[in-house]
Amino acid sequence: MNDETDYLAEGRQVFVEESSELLQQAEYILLKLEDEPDNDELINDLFRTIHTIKGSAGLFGFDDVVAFTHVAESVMDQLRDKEIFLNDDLMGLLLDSRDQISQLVAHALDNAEVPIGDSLRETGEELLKNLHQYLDIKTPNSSIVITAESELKVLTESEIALELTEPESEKVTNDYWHISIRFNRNVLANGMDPLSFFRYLETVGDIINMTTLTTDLPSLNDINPEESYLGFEISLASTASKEAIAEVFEFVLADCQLQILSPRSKLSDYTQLIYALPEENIAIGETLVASGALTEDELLKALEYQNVDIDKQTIVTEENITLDKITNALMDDVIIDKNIVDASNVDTALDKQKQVKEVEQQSVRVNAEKLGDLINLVGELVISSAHTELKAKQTEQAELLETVENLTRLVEEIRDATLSLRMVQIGDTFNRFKRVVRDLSKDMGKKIDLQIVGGDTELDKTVVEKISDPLMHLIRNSLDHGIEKPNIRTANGKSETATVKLEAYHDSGSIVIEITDDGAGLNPEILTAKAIENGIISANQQLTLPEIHRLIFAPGFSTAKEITNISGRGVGMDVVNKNIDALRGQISVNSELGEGTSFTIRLPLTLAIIDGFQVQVGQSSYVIPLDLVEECIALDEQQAKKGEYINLRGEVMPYIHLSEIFNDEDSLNSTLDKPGRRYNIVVVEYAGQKAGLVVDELLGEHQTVIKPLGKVFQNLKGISGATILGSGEVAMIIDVPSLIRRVV
Amino acid sequence: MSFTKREDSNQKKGICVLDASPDMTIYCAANNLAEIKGYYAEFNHFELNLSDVEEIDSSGIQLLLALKQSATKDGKQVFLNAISNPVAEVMDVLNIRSHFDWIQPE
Amino acid sequence: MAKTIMIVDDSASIRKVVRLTLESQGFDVIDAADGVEALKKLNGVKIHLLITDVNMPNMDGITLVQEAKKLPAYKFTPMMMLTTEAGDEKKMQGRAAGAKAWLVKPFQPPILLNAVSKLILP
Repeated sequence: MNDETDYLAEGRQVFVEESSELLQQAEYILLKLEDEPDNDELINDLFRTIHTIKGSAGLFGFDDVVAFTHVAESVMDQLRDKEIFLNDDLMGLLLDSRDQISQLVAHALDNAEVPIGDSLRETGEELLKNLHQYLDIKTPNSSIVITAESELKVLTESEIALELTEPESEKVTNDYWHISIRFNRNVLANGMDPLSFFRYLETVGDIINMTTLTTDLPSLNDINPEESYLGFEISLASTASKEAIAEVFEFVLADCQLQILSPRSKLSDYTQLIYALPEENIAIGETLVASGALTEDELLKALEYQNVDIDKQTIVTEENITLDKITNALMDDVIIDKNIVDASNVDTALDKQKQVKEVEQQSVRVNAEKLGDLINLVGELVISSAHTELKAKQTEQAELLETVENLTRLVEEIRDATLSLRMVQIGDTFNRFKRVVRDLSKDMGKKIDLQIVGGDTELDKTVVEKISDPLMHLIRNSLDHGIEKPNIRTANGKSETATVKLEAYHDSGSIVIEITDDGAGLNPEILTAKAIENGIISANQQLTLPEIHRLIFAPGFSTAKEITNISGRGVGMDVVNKNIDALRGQISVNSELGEGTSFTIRLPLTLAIIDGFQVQVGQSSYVIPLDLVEECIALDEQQAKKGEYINLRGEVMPYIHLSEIFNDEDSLNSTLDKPGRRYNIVVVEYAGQKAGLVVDELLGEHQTVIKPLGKVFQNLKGISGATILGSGEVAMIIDVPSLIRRVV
Repeated sequence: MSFTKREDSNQKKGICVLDASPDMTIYCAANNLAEIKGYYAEFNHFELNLSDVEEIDSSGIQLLLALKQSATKDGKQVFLNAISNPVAEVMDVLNIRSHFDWIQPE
Repeated sequence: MAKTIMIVDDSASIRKVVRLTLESQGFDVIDAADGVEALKKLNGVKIHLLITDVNMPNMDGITLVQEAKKLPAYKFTPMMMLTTEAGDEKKMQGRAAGAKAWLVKPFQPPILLNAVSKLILP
């Protein structure tokens, strides 16, 4: 029992993740069904997700989940069978039911022993009532248990009836059950071995006597070795019920003739048995005597019964029907006339599955912590490999260098492969917003079409997790403040339905997420007024339009005229900005009054390892993320002294001296010491903006494992992290976006 | 290879000594039958050694019973020699030891 | 010689619990998440019982049983369907395909072991 609890506990861990995935899928499917209500495949998938949740929940004894899910599943089954069809009302009901299942699952996982709370129960009852309305269209299926009971009752009644018609019938003296079974020819080929059932029978009672009958067995020449020919007469001592004994053979009930006589059965029952069995009456009679079921005396009497005025054939048939009924009861059958899928359909389905097979990729579930450990280790490996490379270079041994080069290449591949393990598509996150948009737009009486582009764009799972909340906030914001009510939209000559576009794509080592709406846009006048009111800017401050737009990210800024329950709850855009900052990302806003607003978020693909470009300033090494490096150019003293801009092929590009930024005296002094020296400029580009970073020396590419800076250094401007070089020396990682912001 | 005739079979004049293979389940039933039939046509006296049988199911038992039954009818003789534990277990469940003639182990 | 059971179900938690339950009884267990994966793993390896869910992505349990029965190595393998379908249809299709045993979902470990022990011993 203890063991069993353990498996369940282990399984439950799996169920936590599985159920949340399935529920998310269910939601996604439901929302998709809203656009394609006739998509049978979607309905099938929907049924399957709910069906799987029910099955798994049952395994863990989550009865509340099973009970509710069962009804929802039945409704989906009706949908599948086209007994009912999707409409707005049903769609809402199914979405709410999905939420209810989600709540019930959460409760069960939390503490299954505690009964569910009142509100959860009441919501459930309300939903069930509504779900039942869809079920009642068709006659409801009676539950398994009831079916079984009613059928078994029929059996008892027929027995009573028989008893009444033969009050004179005598009973046999033996105290054992008698089981007589003949298997159909095909059972062996179906993998059903009579031996297994007999072994199982021994768990229900004691086999007092077993007689194996070989009467039907053909000669060696005629036998088909894969068919079954043996018959069995069994005496069983057991306190089990007839049904329990019949159940031992449940899997072969349809493929055998089974007669079960209870202890002290009527002699006439044995008469029927003897006549019903395929073997010669005398032979079977003797077998019964030999097995102890009947005494010689009883056999003689039983055989005499053949003259008794009972139509044995009818009774036998009736007995068989009753057994069929047990079979049906045990199989919880409610027979529905349905054509079994014809072969061509199966073939088509198979073809389809073959196609799927080629595309489908198998996956293994790995604990995120383990992946994190692996990535950290690979980080160490990268550092260590860089160190090795450095040492090898110092030896100047060609062979060693060659080997190390190979090693470095492999380490790079391992690094890429490892990082890709944690890459997930952003689509799942995007899809969750469909529900939000759907629900919110209904609440607000707005019509919104959410478009998703680039859902298959991949990024680090840890980044995905952290970006979800800021995105949610931006979308709510856009829905609440950006999108106008339909009547206002039409008045302004816009389409009634607004569009919100969620788009993701890769751009030079970053992932870009854009949220664009065609709503009212940001009103600079209101923004400025609000900022002055809140003391963010002074009344006479002159700001450019982009600066005004960026005001929304200022702490304590809120423009919602009335606080709705959707946004404006105090958590402002400044939090969004901070969250994105924490991911080494950047958010910008672009808006046109009356046309709409667009937020652009740029995030690094991963938080762990990057390809860096190493430079030297004075005595210190710095690393610039290679993805952001455009080119390196030389700058002579004359040019350098002209000011803060250079002409890059006709383009004006600002530049800064890293030595000034980081106040590196060595470098500053050396600059003064050596007139006529040349400078190196590393041209970096971020979000379409180019800038030059002046450094003393270019050291080349370097794999960089990002080590976060401690709390003390977190506010350092221009530095986003640190890394350990092959030599063991620490190098700062240049925060290019913040430097660009500084010079532009 | 399912039933192997022992090399010394011919020394025991006209006696066919067969070693049953480990698998006497339905998966090998057709093969087992074919081989038994082959020997059956050739010999009148059989000794079956079932001590290497690892798996046996109803089809395997049936085959033994059919061999014995045909032999009785055709006036041939079939004796069981040693049996393995799995065979013994099955024979006890079905209560069929008495269907066979046995050679007492030497 | 431990006997081997294959469990095919798209629910990872069910696969896990079934595996642990059966392993505790001394069975070896192979698992698969759907019919396609199961067929891939049915590469001649001896299995003594196949337990499969009905409703799965890529290839359902009934098709799996039909396909497995076509393979010589699994022609005689007992097959059990895990079914929760309200109607009889799936069970009839399953039986017609060759899965003569079934287990009604939701089930708990002792019930599973009961059903399995009607068919094979460890």
